[in-house]
Amino acid sequence: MKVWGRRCAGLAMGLTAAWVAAVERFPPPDFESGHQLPLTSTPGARADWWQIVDLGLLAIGLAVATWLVHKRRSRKAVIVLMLGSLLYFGFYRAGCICAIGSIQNVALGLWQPGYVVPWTVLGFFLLPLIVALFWGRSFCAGVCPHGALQDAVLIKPLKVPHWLESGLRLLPWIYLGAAILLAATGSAFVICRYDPFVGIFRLSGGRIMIAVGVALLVLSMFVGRPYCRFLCPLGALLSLCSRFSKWFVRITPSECSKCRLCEDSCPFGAIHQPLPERPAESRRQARRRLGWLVLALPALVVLLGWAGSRIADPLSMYHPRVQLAEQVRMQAEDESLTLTDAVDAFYVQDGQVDRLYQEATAIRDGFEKGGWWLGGFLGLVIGLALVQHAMRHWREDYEADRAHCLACARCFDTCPYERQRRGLPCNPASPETEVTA
Amino acid sequence: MKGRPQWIRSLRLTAGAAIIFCVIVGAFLVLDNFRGRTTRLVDAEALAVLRQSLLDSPKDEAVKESIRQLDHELRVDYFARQRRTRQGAWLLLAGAVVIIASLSLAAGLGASTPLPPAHALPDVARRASQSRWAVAAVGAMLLGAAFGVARRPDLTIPALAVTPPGDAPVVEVPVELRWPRFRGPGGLAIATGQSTPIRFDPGTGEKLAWRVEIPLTGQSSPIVWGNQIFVTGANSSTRQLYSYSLEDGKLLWQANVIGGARAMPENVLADTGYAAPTPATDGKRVVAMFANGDIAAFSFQGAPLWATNLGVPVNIYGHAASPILWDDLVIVQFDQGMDGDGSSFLYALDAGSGKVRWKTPREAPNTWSTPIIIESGGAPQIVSTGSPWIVANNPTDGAEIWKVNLFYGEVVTAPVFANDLVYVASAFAYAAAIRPDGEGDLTESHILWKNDLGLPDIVSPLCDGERLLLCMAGMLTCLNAADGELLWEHDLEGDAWASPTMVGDAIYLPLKDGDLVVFTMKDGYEELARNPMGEALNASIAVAGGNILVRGSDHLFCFREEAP
Repeated sequence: MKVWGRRCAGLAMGLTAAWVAAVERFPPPDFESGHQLPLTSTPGARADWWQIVDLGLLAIGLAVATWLVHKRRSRKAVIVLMLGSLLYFGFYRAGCICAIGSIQNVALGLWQPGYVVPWTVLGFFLLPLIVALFWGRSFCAGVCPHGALQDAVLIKPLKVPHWLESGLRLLPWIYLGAAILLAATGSAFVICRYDPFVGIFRLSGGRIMIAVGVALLVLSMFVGRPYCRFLCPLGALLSLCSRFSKWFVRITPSECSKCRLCEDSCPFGAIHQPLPERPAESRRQARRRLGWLVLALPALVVLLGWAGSRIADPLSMYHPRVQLAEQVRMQAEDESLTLTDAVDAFYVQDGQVDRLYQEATAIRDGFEKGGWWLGGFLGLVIGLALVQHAMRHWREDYEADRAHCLACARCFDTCPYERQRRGLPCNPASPETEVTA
Repeated sequence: MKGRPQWIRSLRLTAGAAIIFCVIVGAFLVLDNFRGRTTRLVDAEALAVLRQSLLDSPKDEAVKESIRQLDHELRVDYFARQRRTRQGAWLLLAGAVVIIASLSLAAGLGASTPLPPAHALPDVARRASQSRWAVAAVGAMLLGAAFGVARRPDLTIPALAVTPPGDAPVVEVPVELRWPRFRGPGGLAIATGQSTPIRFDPGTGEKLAWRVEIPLTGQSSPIVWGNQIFVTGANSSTRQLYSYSLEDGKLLWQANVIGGARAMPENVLADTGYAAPTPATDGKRVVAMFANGDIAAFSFQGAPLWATNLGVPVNIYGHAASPILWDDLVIVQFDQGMDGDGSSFLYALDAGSGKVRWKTPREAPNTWSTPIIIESGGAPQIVSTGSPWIVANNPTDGAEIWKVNLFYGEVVTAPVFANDLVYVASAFAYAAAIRPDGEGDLTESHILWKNDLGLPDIVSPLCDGERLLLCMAGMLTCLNAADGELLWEHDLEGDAWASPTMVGDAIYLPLKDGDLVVFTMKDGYEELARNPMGEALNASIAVAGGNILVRGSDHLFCFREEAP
């Protein structure tokens, strides 16, 4: 039973990876026909100047998005930029190079000394984060093709309950931690492997990849940017940088009149409402809760760190050498098992089982340490989220949520001051009408 | 304004039509896809049946023709299906664009001026409480998933039956099968108790046990432990360690060394190359170093144990000093840069982890010599040469024990140890014998003798206890080890960069032009053989179990007495 369980687990992981990356095999003809089979070749590296163009367009896109959101305050212009980015970075560049995936290159470069992160990839990683540190998530607003694709299909946004949103917002951190662990150990670039939209950008891909992408797009018609909000690992980093941004998106160009017109305008649940100075519950009760949660924070880090170390074994199966070692071991234990292609190739090319086992053991040891770090990191994220939701806030105006606002500029048009500034008709019932009257 | 409802209706109708269009195209694609799966070339049943028929009657031309025809039809179908899928995908995309554009425009036209929401402001405390519970639920789910995985033994991979590499015991092998570092045991270049061939010729196969081509070039010398030979090779982009079988020359494994150098050194001469340092072993692991400062350890099975980078050496010809191993320490003489710039260090790395245990600054510019470890007064010393100091350090903490100001300029030659004396020699300076039993600056007190005869620029000296052999540009100079007096001189008529190695009375010295000269020095120069290898020789030989291992520019040769 145990053996079968392990086999099934290994097989399931292998099949998942193989299925997603599947390319139909096509054998050479059975007979000599005079046809010269082309040599197998890999595409050459993209020319330097094209890489400069990519990076330059990213920088220009970020600058334009920032200007459109902060100065021009135009949703329509943001849409135009978004569609341009979708066409270039999405369909033309086929989703690669990608700022989201660059996290893995950076992780690999930091932990695997032999890997040097290409400067363009480093640029794609750093530029959106730097911009977010100063002006918020301009990258999400109009440059990210993933966001643009989801935004373009958003037709009838439904409101996600606040409690559900709070829980789901943790998922990007989990994905980020797991992706960094797998990239840092040289196992897999899971962000790229499971990218839901790259198959759509390329109009080609595995069936599951296409199906997941289409399903996510259908969901995006009713839930605003589900991938960006509840999965995107770069979004997690951007939300962190954006919290500390020096200049941030303002819903109103003037003072907030608390007219509530913008309250439901954000399809991403990223508008904070004014909060009363004296909430219903007592200050003492809130303080006590906060104190307990702060005290629980280190315990959470240790507990989840330990939990992370427990899942190191299954996670390590993502590493090709560990997979191979496991297949070799299973085949050695039960010779009736059919050799996989990988095991067959291993015996033909190398066959040093002890060396393979040593490598696999060292990798698994690395995963155990990495599991502690991953778990501890997630414990910290969850603990801080609990602390954040236990802190008392006081807010006078309607404000964009610094961390989660995607700077899409939708809310601008609902503000009566903004409408007045742009000469648009205002709702007669709004306080703004009184202002203009 | 009046026309808006009509526009909205038209747009919605357009979207509806596009949806129907997409559904039809999608259905067609799905059906075509499934049909394609039943007629794939790799698992077409009809083709398999025909193939079986052909196996039964291999000369049946009709079956062959049927296979050809079916094969062709399936291929045509495959490419047609690929084309249809591609076209269908574009049609779907176009349909999706129409749907989205129509609905978005309709929504935009139907939009009214914003209204304040009818509902009351939410209860902040309640909402925060719900959020906390939601976050806690995610944490609980994570914990639950981890517990679930931990409690399922079928998801736990059993430990693989290997000895942890860091704790690997010494692989016990006879002494004569150990040539563990540059110039063999102790760096003395002396092998005893072995019978090795004097005359051999790879051209005729005389005494040739085997010959293998080394994938990447290098000036490093081979080392041996038991039945395994280790040798390095590299170019500007790849650094490799190879392990060959001493018995038959079979490549047991090869491993790439990735220590993490962020750049390649700028001044690596082709004469030095990227793999000049000779690897070293202590019977537990093999350590290899390269011109870019990458250094790495591997198990005897070739599993990488650790890899690190000491920094890209600033060296006018390229780094060449070899690492040595002593008591679970990897000692590296890392001399670089210019005199007085403080960039040279003597490193001791933990052999199990590659972490720096200690490093001691050296007052030396770039050098190319490898240190030796001697014992004086019952205590170990690392003796290294540099310009101007010959220095002894304590291997346990790197502290300087003594030093002698003797050398000048570029120092390549390694020291040797005999008669409780350290013998050194370098061009434009001196050959000398130093007593290593003092502390501090011993320049005035512990130099037993020194002279300037036959000073070598590259070839390290050899001392058999009675004689000190020097070689400069093919000119051999033999000095009396006791007082430095000249015993004899001989011109080899061929330059050498490799260092001499002594087996019994025979001295093997590879020459650059490809001849391996064998001679004795006891009673003057007596040439025993001049063996042509057919390619340039710049590496010193290794001796193990009666085998002479010679590294040429392209090949690794093994000669032994009983060779076929």
